[in-house]
Amino acid sequence: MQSMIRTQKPANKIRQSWDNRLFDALANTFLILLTIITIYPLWFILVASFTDYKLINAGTLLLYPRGFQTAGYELVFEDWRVWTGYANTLFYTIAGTFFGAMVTILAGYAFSRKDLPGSGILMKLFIFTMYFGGGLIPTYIMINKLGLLDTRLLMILQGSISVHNIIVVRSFMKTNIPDELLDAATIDGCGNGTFFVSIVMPLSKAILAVMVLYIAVSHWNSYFNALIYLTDMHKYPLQVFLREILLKTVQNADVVENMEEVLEMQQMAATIRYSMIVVSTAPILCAYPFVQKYFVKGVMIGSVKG
Amino acid sequence: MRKQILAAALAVGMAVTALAGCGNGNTAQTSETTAAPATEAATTAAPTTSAAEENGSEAQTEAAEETDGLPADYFAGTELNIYAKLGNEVDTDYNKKLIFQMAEEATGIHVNWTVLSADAWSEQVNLLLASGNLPDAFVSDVGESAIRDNMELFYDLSEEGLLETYVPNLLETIPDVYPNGLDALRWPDGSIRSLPTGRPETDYQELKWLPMINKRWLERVNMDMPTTADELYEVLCAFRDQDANGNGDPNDEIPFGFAEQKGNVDIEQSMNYFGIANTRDGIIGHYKMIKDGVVTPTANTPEMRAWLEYMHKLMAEGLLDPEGFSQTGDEWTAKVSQDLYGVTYMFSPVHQGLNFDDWEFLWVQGLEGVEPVLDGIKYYDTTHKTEFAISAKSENVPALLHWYNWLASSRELKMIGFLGDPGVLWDEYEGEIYLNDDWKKDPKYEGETASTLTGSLGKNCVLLSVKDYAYDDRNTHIVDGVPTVLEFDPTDSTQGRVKLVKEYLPLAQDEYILPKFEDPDVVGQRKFIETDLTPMISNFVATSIMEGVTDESWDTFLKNLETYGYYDWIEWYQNSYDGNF
Amino acid sequence: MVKEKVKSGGPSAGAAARRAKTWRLMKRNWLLYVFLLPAALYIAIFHYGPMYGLQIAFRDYKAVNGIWGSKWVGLKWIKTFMDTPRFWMIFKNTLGISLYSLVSFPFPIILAVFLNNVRNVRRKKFVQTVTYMPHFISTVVLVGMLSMFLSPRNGIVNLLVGLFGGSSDTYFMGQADYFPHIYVWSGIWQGMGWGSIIYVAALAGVDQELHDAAQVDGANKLQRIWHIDLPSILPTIIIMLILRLGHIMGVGYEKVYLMQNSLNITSSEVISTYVYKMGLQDQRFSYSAAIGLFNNVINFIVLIVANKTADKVSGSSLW
Repeated sequence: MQSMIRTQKPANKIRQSWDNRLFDALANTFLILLTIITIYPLWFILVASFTDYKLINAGTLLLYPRGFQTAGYELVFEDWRVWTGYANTLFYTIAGTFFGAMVTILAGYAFSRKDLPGSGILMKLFIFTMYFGGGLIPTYIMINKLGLLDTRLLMILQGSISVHNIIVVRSFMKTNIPDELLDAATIDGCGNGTFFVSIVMPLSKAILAVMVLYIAVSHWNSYFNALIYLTDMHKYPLQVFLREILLKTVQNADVVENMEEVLEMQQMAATIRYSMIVVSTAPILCAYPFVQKYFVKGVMIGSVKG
Repeated sequence: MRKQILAAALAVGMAVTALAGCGNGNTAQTSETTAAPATEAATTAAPTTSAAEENGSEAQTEAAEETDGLPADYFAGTELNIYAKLGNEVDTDYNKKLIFQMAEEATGIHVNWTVLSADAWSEQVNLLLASGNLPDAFVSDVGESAIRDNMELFYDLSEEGLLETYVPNLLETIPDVYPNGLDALRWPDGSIRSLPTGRPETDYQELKWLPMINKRWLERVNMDMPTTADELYEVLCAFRDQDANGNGDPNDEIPFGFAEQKGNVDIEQSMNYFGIANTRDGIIGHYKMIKDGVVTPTANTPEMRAWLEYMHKLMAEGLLDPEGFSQTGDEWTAKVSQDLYGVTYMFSPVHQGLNFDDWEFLWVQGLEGVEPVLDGIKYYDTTHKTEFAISAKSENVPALLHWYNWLASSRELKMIGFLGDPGVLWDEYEGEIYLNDDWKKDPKYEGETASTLTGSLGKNCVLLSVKDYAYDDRNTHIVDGVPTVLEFDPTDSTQGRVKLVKEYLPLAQDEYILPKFEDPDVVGQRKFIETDLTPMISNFVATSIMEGVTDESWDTFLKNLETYGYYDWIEWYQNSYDGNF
Repeated sequence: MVKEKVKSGGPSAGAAARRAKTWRLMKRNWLLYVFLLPAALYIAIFHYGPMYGLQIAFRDYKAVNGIWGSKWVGLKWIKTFMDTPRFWMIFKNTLGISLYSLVSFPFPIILAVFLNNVRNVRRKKFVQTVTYMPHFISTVVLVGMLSMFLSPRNGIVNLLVGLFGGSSDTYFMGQADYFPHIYVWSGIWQGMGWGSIIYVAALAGVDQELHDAAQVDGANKLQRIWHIDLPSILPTIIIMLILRLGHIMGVGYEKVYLMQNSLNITSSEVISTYVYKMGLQDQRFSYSAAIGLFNNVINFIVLIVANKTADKVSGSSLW
């Protein structure tokens, strides 16, 4: 694939006409501007995580850490629970993504087929749940009845499957897997299983990559379910602990004796806030390039033809 | 070929997820079964308790003669399930805390603690209430509204003789804490659904954050302490025009700073100078005050308008921080720490890296003939009245009460619960209890602060009164093993604060609504008015400060007060004050 | 299945044959039902299982009485909501911000199309990664940065405006008029890269041969985007648009709540913040459930209309 792009490049360059060059100029300006306005705030967060909290919010332009300190990171990492949290989050994310992506792709594909009686009604039933639900209390009662309260299994299951994602997969497959392919395969005596595995899956790498990313990120960032359905702290994911550390600095005004300490901690919260973002997003950012390579142009068509 | 491999991988993958799912289910189940015996044990222990309950009536008669009624180990063998909210500690095993170890040893009652994240505590409590999976008791703020809306789910402790029999220690403390005694805990139907914990404040917490002026700045601009609003205006002008902070830049001074987003640094407190003091009852204490037993509206008064006009003048002339309404608490902190504010509200300057020598309480009269009054009251309830609540389904009510009472059976025990192990944060010296400073030198506690130590060592489950600790002035601490009177240190926040409060408490509004619980429907009525009313008023206040007040805008505002139910709201509080609910 | 019959709209004579055909299809595609099974089970258990809780909106829910036993109050809560003095302001704000937020819809598409044109793989990945990162910034920090960057004192935005000759002390956060702009554009900034991922993936599926052929025919880049890229990803765009429209009343509470202050409250009070203030802090389950339902009924109606329209105009639809 890489080679294809490379061989095309010089050829294109020679043929560049003024309108294409104008277009490129516009597109590049847009992208460069966008990169700048995005990168500064990101840089700011990184710098702020190493800066004395009193200087972060002073309003002056921060280009490099001032009053260099690592107190935010120390506060986050000296808590053993952060490591437990990392391990739990990693587990929930990997298992949940595996499960969620699988179910989503399978369901999305089934829904994309026009020759499946009943799928229309089922789709409507699915969509209905995007808008109407019983709310927290009956859900909690249900989960309690299923014996899933305070289990890791629930953390993997909950939030892995979203109707939104199934719809996206469905529409993607509808456009990218032409009916003719199925017809041809059927004539060749190819069953649904074989067709799915040997034609649909290779054609759907990009959407699979997107789903993996969507589900992984939502698992990585989720905390609410853990807060509500877990009671054993050893099962808590990272986000809950981070919120706990942040909250710890705000609550406990009830131990009046230590009002001063509370206030100091509140100020510390300012620093933690930035290091928290760095700590909690760095791993998931590292995962992005692995997913990204499936977005490279031509991958799918190439594999079909090949 | 690759496709087949992919297919195989997928199939395996699916099988693995299925298996992993099962595996997890199993482990989850086993962990639940390990939890189960505990509850079973609790139910098997129940006969003992119900026996005790039968004995209860006998015990009552006995209790009349003996103060403590029952022997400590009367309920030995009982297991209690208690939920608590995670405090500052990292370790969630509360049975490692000294106070609970002692309690178990003395009473023979074992507590199975479930400690939940503070983040979701109130949701969790509500879900537990909704699903009926209730523990024997909650020992952490259940919250007034949770009890109010689910009254029947909590055991009614007002039963004849129950408290007298099982918690005599609490009853002894209550009159010292609540001016209206046991009524502070009573609901309008006469029931008592929870017991209090914590302690009252007498000298430290009554006042809100206080208006402070930067003395160094005053010296630099060479002016006296202002005593009237006009003088204050002159001073602020001087702050603006001169290099009051002495950093060489005459333009970076912000004469008067506030931050609406940081509730305590609210500009509305400056109404005080114009004779308007807000009450202090719950979250929203603004726009009303109590004068001679009458809850009086303040938002519609000429004083209010005068205050708005004055504030607008300050804003228009660049004397008020223009960002005050939107800046975050962090931004405010940064400005104070960098010496950009001449006047602002503070709990104590020490938190901003400043000290008490540089800051002075600022008190000016806004209108001639109108005495300024300080926000905050001479009685402020800092106890937690809904912190110990027993489930109506619990079969261990007497045992719970007995356990709670035991925790309060001596001053030492109360202190251990409150501040943790003796000899760390507190200590006893010749029968008196003092705060101990020696732990700061102990390498064992390096990196700890008083609050992390309290969090990890103590868990206050009882009510303390002022009588329980003798360090009321907070100036006598144990240093090197001996009680020592500390010298005033301007960088010590507690000392400075105590001094300030003692000095200025007489300026504070002194009427208040008694601490009590109110009927759910009645509170609902108020809540519905409030959710619309207060944003409307505060929007008017903010807009007026930015843009000024005209006769027209003022008239519209007065009309709005009526449509938004301001007077009903005032009446509501009057009824509450009169005890009509 | 009933639906299938209606759709094909056959006369009664063909009904038996059609039933036989349906049966044949079902038998042949049995595996596809197995594919659907896990998702259907999940939806059934986690969504339809607790669905009975919807009635909380019409009852005065008290935990002690349970959902079925709480007092039935009908539309009381919705009526109460509509009677609040600020109802129309809140409703107008919510709708206004939502409609304005639709401005954000094309940005991820534009970004994806432009990215698709970047030939240098490394540069492309760099831009993609950078633009996707803001998605991970927590709302508290985002709002904190907004307040700082927009400060009238020394905020970078005011400095830049001043540099270009504008007034450099605009109080952005303190004026009700600016609120929707700040809310929407910061949202675009935060969500553009993340939103573009799906389109980047869709563009990866565009047949390269079409481009090559068009190039031979002398089509320039813009023409190729217009005639090849966009039509190829149109179904994805339409589905995303329908889904987006189905959240027309969904202005989330957290960011608005954090950006709110007394000065901008007249344009920043939206349904979700109102519900938060009224309900969550005081556990008024029924009241907040009723308002949530009110929102979602509107959302659902919009979704149905949008879906129908899309079906007619483009042939792509959710069902």
